[in-house]
Amino acid sequence: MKTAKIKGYCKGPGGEKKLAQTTRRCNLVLIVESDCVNLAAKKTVKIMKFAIQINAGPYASNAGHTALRFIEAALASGHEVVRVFFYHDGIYHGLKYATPPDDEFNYAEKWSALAERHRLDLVLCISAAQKRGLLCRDEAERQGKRDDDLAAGFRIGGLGQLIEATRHADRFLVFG
Amino acid sequence: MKSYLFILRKPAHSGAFVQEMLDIILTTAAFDQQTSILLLDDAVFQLKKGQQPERFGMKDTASIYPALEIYDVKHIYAEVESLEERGLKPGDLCLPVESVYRKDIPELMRRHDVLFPG
Repeated sequence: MKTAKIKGYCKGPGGEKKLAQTTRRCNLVLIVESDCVNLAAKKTVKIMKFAIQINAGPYASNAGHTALRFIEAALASGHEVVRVFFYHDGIYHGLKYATPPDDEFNYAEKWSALAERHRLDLVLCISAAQKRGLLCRDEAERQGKRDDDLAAGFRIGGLGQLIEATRHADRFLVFG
Repeated sequence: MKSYLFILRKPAHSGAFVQEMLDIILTTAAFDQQTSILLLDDAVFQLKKGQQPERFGMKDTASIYPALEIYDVKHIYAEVESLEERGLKPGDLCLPVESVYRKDIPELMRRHDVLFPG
């Protein structure tokens, strides 16, 4: 783990942005003499890298909902989410055609918005997705099908990307 | 390199779940990570001798286990109590496994970097 001592980065305009840039490069950040109100504690903050896997389908359980809330909280606390990997029925989180009633939770929309806001890497497992009929445009063309099912902010990837994420993360959490 | 312990708890033929977990295990081993498996609860049934899933058009996931050795999956552990509670003895399984008592499982988990539930 790298450590970085940041002194006074939060002071003055743009301080917060500078701090965020620095924390992205380091696992462990010591915030010294910070007077930034958004940082709740003027003390040592340990930045964790999280790898997340989501296994349950969007409406089958609360797993996806809990994962979303966890990720939002982790990012708000300054932690890093290396990758969110969707596996088993969890791949349905990335189906862009999901059209729930207006007063119900739209997972794909929530994920897309979160991905855009935080540049999250949302990866659907290719073999799990294809098996369940969720194809991105490229893959559909390769299979001689006309399809384009992926919601914004998601991409298709392989299991290697799950393993890679778990290798680089400090913590690996599985939801569902 | 990290050490991974896959903690399996579901029996064979839980939909595609077991097959998809084995895919992750094989990928982890293929990425040269130290890979071990712990069979807990109903997962001990995954290796029960005498399964004939092909008769019903289902995939024989137990037959994938012997191939794990080629991928250098060194340890397959089974919890002694999980076997006993289901009336199974290590000899009822189609592969030799390393027996672990329930009281020793926390220590087994502590020895691994990544605990992978499945």
